[in-house]
Formats: sequence, structure tokens, C-alpha cells
Amino acid sequence: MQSEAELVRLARQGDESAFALLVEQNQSRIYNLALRMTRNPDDAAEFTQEAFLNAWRGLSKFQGESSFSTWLYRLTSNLCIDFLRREKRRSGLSMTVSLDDEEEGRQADVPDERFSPEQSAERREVQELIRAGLRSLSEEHRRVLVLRELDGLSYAEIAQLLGLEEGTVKSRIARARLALRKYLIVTGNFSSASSSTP
Amino acid sequence: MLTCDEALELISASLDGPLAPDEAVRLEEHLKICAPCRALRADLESLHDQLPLLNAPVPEGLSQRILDQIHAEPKVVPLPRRHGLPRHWRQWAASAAVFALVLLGAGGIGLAQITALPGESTLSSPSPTPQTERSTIGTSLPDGSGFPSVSAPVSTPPATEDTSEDLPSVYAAIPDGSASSAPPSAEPSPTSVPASTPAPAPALYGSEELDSLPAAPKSQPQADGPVQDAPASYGAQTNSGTSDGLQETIQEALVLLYEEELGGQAAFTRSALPESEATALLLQPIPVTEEPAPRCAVLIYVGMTAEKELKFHLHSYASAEPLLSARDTSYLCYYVLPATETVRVETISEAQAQQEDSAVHTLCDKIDN
Repeated sequence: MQSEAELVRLARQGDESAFALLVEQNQSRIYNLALRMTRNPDDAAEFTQEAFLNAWRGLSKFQGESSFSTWLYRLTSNLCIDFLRREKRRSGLSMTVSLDDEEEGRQADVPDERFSPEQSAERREVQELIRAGLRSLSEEHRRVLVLRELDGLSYAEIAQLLGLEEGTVKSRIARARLALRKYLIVTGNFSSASSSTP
Repeated sequence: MLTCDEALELISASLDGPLAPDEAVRLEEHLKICAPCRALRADLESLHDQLPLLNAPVPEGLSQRILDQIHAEPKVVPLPRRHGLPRHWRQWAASAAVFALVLLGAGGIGLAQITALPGESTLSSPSPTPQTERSTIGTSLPDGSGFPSVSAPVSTPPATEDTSEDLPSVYAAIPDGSASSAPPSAEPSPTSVPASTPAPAPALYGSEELDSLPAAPKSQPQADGPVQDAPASYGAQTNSGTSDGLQETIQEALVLLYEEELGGQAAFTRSALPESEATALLLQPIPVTEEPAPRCAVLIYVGMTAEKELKFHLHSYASAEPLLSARDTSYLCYYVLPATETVRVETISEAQAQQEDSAVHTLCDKIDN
């Protein structure tokens, strides 16, 4: 299995099959990022496609200072932000994205239940609780937890993306997990074996 | 002994990757005696499993659509930036068409093959009067006699001429496989081209085309896959006749003409073929309107003027329909003076450029296939 760096190297030279592997490795996180931001599956698909196309075209500019995944992630986020700003200007009101920055962040971080895959009512209920838990977190905690658990980025990649030290990312994720778990216990949705939470 | 706080961090880290052996041991020891942390671990593991399920599945066919779109793009290979030529160029109005670039280069294809016309006079033998040669170049363009010829063997590798100032060495430097002086590299480089490169070289040239070309006058690192080697070997190749300095200067000028002159206005992509001493850039336009776009274009180094300017021709070819043979449209001529970073451009007539066209046409036709 080739490393990401190796695939990027090949792709830069025109190797489409190497790029295909990069697409495969990244499409879920990119699509879901776009979906969280645009709240629309068609828009999300379109931006995913555009992001990968821009990445392909711009490979020569990719310096390798960050990982390819991080670079692609930023690219996608910028695409969506530009789109949302245009939409905001055009509509004059907040449509899917609130005017409040913190609210914006919350929306962009928490996946919409409308688009989650088909599953049992029980599971949907659990997921809704987890969503509520995510919303209850501080922005710092929510951001790193989403990047790690939903987007699957590594500590190093998260550190690059947020401009933090890796150690900071590591401990922040631990705290975020703890906070989420606490929320779920407090709302009575986690049967924890012990009531004394560390 | 770990504190529960430390244990939290290790538990969390263990979800994201393996712990260091000593950390794993310490954690296990702590968990043996700490029920709350065991519960914590169970809960965090559960969350770790549940959270990704919040993601929506990627729509079916999305990756295929992406790959199809990428496949439809003109093939892209980054041209390495060369140091040496300055970066500031005056902005010129380039031709209206939008171009993508293809870096010529399967082994053996050099300026000689591109520009030579049968029966042309040759500059193959070092001229005793460099001055005369240069002025010949400067003025001979209209009648084409300034171009090197494949038909004339380059009998004398210019061992005595290895400065970029010396004009004859420029032409002697062009790989000319018919040269008897060529090292006995009988292995045509094309054999490595189709097998090893993902670039469109195989489609572009076809093995029969390459086989008919003279063999590369030197052994090149193409067995490894020319495209993979492109960054390393581009511009660095030598043969007995090549003037490295000039070669590199020409290639730098090509890249910079592309990036500064042609690349500024619109979206370009560049393609690269397995390269040898590339002294030309083959351009492929990206259609921006519904009208038929120029099918391809060539930016070729054609010589050095008396004033030491590097002269490049830009030929663009229109095609009435896709995949048919090309028709010439317009010709821009760029004069690049590396020393002072100046660029001037002229438009030359079709008649003037006719001389060098036949080989260029052939090359453009190959793109269609």
C-alpha cells in the first residue's frame, strides 16, 4: 500500500490511478465536510467534484508542506465558504447558515440528521443524542472531535489545519471525548458502570 | 502509577493509534485497579465507533464522475522551475487561444526532427566564422535555411564548442540520430516510453513513430520510466554534442514564456512526455467557447539572433473538427534575451513560418490520435 506522499508524487506526474486512490481515500471526508457546510447533498457532491478537480489541476502548486489530505480539506472548506458567502449576499438573509459565527461553526461541525444513512429508529435516536452532545461542546472541543472522529484526520493533520501543536491536539481530543461522554451521562443516555466520573 | 487524568489521555490516544509499549503496560495496570477508568474506556470506545456513523455515505458514482472529469483533462505534469532565468517579463498580448503545453521529448525528438525540411542547408559543421553563422540565423528565417537538418549528419560533435555563445554548437547539440557520431545506442528510447509512462506519450507518438526516429544519441535514464524521472533529468541530459548551458537556458526560457507570457491569462495545463533535449513545447488548447479551438500549438526554439536573443516561434493550429488534421492560423515570434530579461514579440507571416511547418504539422496530427 503506497503512502499518501508516494501517491501524490505519482499523481503529480500524471498518474491518474494514483490520484484515483487519493480520491478514494479522501472522498468521504471531503463530501461530508461539504455536506455539513452546505446542508445540501447536490451542492456537496458538486463541491467535492470541484475540489478534487482543483486539486488535480493544482498539484504542481502543492508543496507538500502539509499532508495532501489537509491541503484538500482546506481547499474544500474555502470553496464552500466562498459559496456560502455568495449565497448569503444574494439571499440577504441567513439561509442555511446563521449570521452568528458561533452558530455557524456549530452548524458546520455537526452533521445533519436528514442526510445520515437509513437505520433503525433506535439507532437514529442514539445518533441524535450524540449530535446534541456535539452541539453542547465548546467550539474548540467540537472542532477537534469532528476532525478526528468524523473526518478521520490524524493528530498531525489536525495540528496543521488548526495551527496547533500536536500535543495540544491530543489532549484537546481527550478532553472533548470526556466532555461528550459527560453530556451523555448527564442526560441519562449512557449507562456508565460507575457514577464517579474521573 | 498513572493518575486517572493521565489514563484519560492514554485511553483517548489508544483509540487513535497504538500506544507505545510502556504506555500500554502502564495503562493496563491502571485499568486493572480503576473501575471508573474502565467504564470511561468502554464509553469512549463506544463513542469512537458511533461518531463516524453520523457521516453520510458518498453518493454513488461520485468518484467515477470525478475520475472521468480528470481523465478528460489535458494531461498534466509539472515542469520543474529552473533557476537562472529571471522571473520578470514584460506582459505581452499573447494569442487569443488558450493553450495547454505538452513537453516534447520522447528520446530522439529534438529540434532537428521538428524543424528540418528535407534538403535544407545544414549548419552541422562548425563554422569557422561564428559571426557569419549568427547573422545567417538572424536573417535566414524567412527562407528557412537557418534550421538544422536531419538529413545532414552532424559529423563533428563540437568538442571544441561548448559555450552557449557559440552558435554552431547549438545546432550540433540537437540530437540527431542520423549522426554517425552518435554513440551506438541502438536501443530506441521509445521502447521504454509506452511501458513505463502514464503520460500520453504512447498515444501521441506511437511506437512506430518513435522507431522511425533516430535513436537517442546517448543512453538516457528512460528505462526507469521517463515521466518519473522527469524532474530529475529534465534539462540535465547530456550527450556528446549538447551544450548543457544553452539547452538549459532554452528550456528555462520556454517554461518562463509559458508561465509568464502564455500562462497568465487563463487556465492552462501542461503535459509532459518523456523528455530528452526538449527545445520546444507542444501546446494543447483548452476550448473556452463553443467554437472550434485551435487544436494544438507549438512553441519552438528556432535559433539565436545576432543580438544573442533566443528566438521562439509560436504556431497555433486550428482544426475545423476535432481530431482532424490541423490548419495553421497565426504565428507569434518571441525574442527572449536572457541577460536583460527582455522579451519582444513579433507577428510573422504564414509564408515565413511555412518553411518549418511540415514537421510541426506532423507532430500536431499525432496529438489527435
